Amino acid sequence: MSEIEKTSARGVIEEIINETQSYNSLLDHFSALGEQIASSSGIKEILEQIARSASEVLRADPIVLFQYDHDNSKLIAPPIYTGVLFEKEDYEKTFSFTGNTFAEKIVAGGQSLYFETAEEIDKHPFMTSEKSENVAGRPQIRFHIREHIKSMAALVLIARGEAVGLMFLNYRRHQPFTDSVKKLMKTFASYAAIAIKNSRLFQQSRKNEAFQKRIIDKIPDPVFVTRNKKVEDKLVWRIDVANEAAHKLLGYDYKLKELEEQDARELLVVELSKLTAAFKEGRGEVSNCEVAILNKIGESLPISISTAILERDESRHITRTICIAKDLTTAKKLEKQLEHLNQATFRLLNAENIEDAYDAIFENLAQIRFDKGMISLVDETARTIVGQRATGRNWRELQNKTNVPMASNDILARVVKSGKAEFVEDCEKNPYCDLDMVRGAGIKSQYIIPLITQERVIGTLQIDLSERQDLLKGDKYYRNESLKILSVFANQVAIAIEANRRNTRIEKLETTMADMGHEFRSPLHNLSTQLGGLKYYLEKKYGDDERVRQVARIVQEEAFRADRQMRNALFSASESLEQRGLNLEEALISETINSCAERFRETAQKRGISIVIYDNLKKLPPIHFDKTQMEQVFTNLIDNAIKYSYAKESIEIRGEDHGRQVAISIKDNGVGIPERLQEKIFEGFTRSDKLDPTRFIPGTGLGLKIAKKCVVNHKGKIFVHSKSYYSDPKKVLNYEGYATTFVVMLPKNPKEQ
Amino acid sequence: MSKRVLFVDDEDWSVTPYFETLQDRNIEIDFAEDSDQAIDFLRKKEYDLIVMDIMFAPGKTMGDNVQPRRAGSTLLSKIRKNEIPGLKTKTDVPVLVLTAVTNGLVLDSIRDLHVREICRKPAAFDEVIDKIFSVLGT
Repeated sequence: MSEIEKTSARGVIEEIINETQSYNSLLDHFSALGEQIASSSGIKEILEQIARSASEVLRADPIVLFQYDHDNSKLIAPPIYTGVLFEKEDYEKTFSFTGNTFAEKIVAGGQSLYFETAEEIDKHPFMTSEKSENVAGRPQIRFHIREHIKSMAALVLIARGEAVGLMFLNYRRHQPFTDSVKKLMKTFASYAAIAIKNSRLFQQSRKNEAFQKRIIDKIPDPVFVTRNKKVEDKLVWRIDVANEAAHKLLGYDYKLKELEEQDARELLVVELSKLTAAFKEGRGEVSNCEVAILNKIGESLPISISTAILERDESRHITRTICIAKDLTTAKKLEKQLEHLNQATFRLLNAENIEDAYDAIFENLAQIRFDKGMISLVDETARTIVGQRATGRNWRELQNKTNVPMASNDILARVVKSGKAEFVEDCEKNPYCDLDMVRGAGIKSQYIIPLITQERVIGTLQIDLSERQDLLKGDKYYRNESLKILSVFANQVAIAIEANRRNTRIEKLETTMADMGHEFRSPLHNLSTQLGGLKYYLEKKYGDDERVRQVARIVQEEAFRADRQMRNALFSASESLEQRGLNLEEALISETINSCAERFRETAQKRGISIVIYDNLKKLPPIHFDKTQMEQVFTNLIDNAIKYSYAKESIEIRGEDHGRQVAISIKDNGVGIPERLQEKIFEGFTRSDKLDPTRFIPGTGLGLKIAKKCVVNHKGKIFVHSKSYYSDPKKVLNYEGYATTFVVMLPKNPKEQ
Repeated sequence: MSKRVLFVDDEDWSVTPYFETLQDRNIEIDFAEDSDQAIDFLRKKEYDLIVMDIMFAPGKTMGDNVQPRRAGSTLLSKIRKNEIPGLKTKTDVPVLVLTAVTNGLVLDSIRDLHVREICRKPAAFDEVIDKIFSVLGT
């Protein structure tokens, strides 16, 4: 640059004339010159320089140089003059071209004109009168007459197809316009035009920058404009403009413009590959890229940035970028809180009992610096506090209120009633705060959130905010978001407390049912045992008697039947409560099935039904299963088979080894199951008892549902193959029987499934 | 030598019908309705089998805080661990559990104490007799 600085426009032109008149070098020099001049001064200086050069190089005197506004097709007054003027032109600020003057017509024509004599000027069709009407609104003698001009060249300055100015080269002597002179003038004109054009563009971009600066300062988010330059293949990325928000974010002084000229890359601390890649590829645009930025004291702040290109150079390199940042500090803080609370939720939902739940709640609140708080639970009428648990100094003394009616105008009562959280900035000034209570606990500010489950307020979560200046005085957005998160947490607390209460109730219910079962089974057992004793006594006294044996067997089986029904009922009632654990034992399933079948011998015999257990069942290897549950499965299946079988048929039980699992099938010949019922029978309370009108088939419709549940517990499957007489109209009620086969597939070890 | 069986159950009539059958086979029977009585018998005699329920009165010797539903497993656990002084009965005495309890946890806790079998009430009369004979080897 400094080399070019020394070169004056005149020097350039002289060089061209004297040496080679090379257009290429002229272009280089002139455009460099133009840029140089423009960077140090305004457009006016450039025009003056051009005019001076023209007067020297082209020896014209005087020279009048107008700028032309191509966009609005207007010549811009006043022009630049050089040389001697006999009479000063009277251009005033109010001057405007009429669109009909000599000069305007020349520019509009786009052709440079050459007049060797004054007559040529006068005769030219663009020259309409001797008087000029456009000078300050009053007539004036024509310039060329007034100034005694003999020859005149009117050069239209055209750059990139666009007129940027009009230059009158006047001669008071006769100047012949030979081709070589015209050529030189044209060349001069074209480079002068380029110089003007460039300087205008430059000026414009400077204007834009100022405009950008004004806009940027108004943006509330931190904004940086960076200048990017390639220096020795390295991208240098300096901050050109940074707005007030950007200075504030990073702790710099905005008045001192401290951020300007900082290396943008040094400020960013994270891996910039994503950003630099974007710039290298020439895209230069990223959106919401999460990075960290260093503030003045070197702390790193999480931000997300979005960038856009403002400017590129001729070789398409990005030279200016605008970068809008978003402060993520609050977002990250909130994110952390949420994380804690998510952990809390997990613990809450896994809490074994209500005390554990309380511990989890308070511990997690403390982790996000809410270390004083109280949970108050209310009864169904929402008028009485049935339990309280608190955490933190001074608070604990206040807890354990039980069965205390709430004052109707108390703030807790208000929250319970409205179901809306209340933020109390100053307890002393809030008419609803119990002053004894808040003074006793030293609460100045508090937040009270209702605990709501299933649209019912079960209590409140009260949090002391007295020591949380960051929430009370800080950023409102942060406070609102923090309190919102607390409300979400309160929902989870409510759910956990409710779940815990329900669990307690369920446990009680389960125990009750187990006890109930015990109380039913004991007398049943006593019945059958007493009868066994009686049978033994009778046989001992009177000898073997078939009738005695039969009565004993019947009573025995009736006791089993009652037991079975009760088991089903209890199982079914409790199944929804909890997934039952399996007591897996490795044993022969055939033995379990056999003992189940044994219990039905008498019932089966009464109807002439035989239960046949095939050898392939007995040959099955030992598998892992829960005896109690499998007993239930096969008892129910055999019971069904007998109930739905026609008389004098046989029930066949088979087993197959399928490698990783075994299949056990129970087949009967009876009423069958219509296809439409085959899915439903496992859903409970679906019975095919109406299929055989000749008899009453007892049952509850629960057996198969429970069987399926137990099989599924073992990760096995149960299904049925059947045909019903419904599907065979000819055979309606001929009691021939339709095979119904229930198949139970059991993995040999459910734990390995 | 005749075999000895101790029955532990809170309701004597739920087990007394077995007695005659067993005594006819020359088996000596004792009956205890709670832990205290059971421990008395176990100190006096050596038994070849205990047929016990799970739920009965815990008795004073077991200490406080024993739930009736844990009485059986608590008693058996003390026998197995040799925590009751002066027992004539061996700590590894065979045990048949005869119970109406179905709670899996309770059953697990007693199953872990090496019982021969858990018979569910209501149980068929002959089935129980057969099981007793099979343990005693008669």
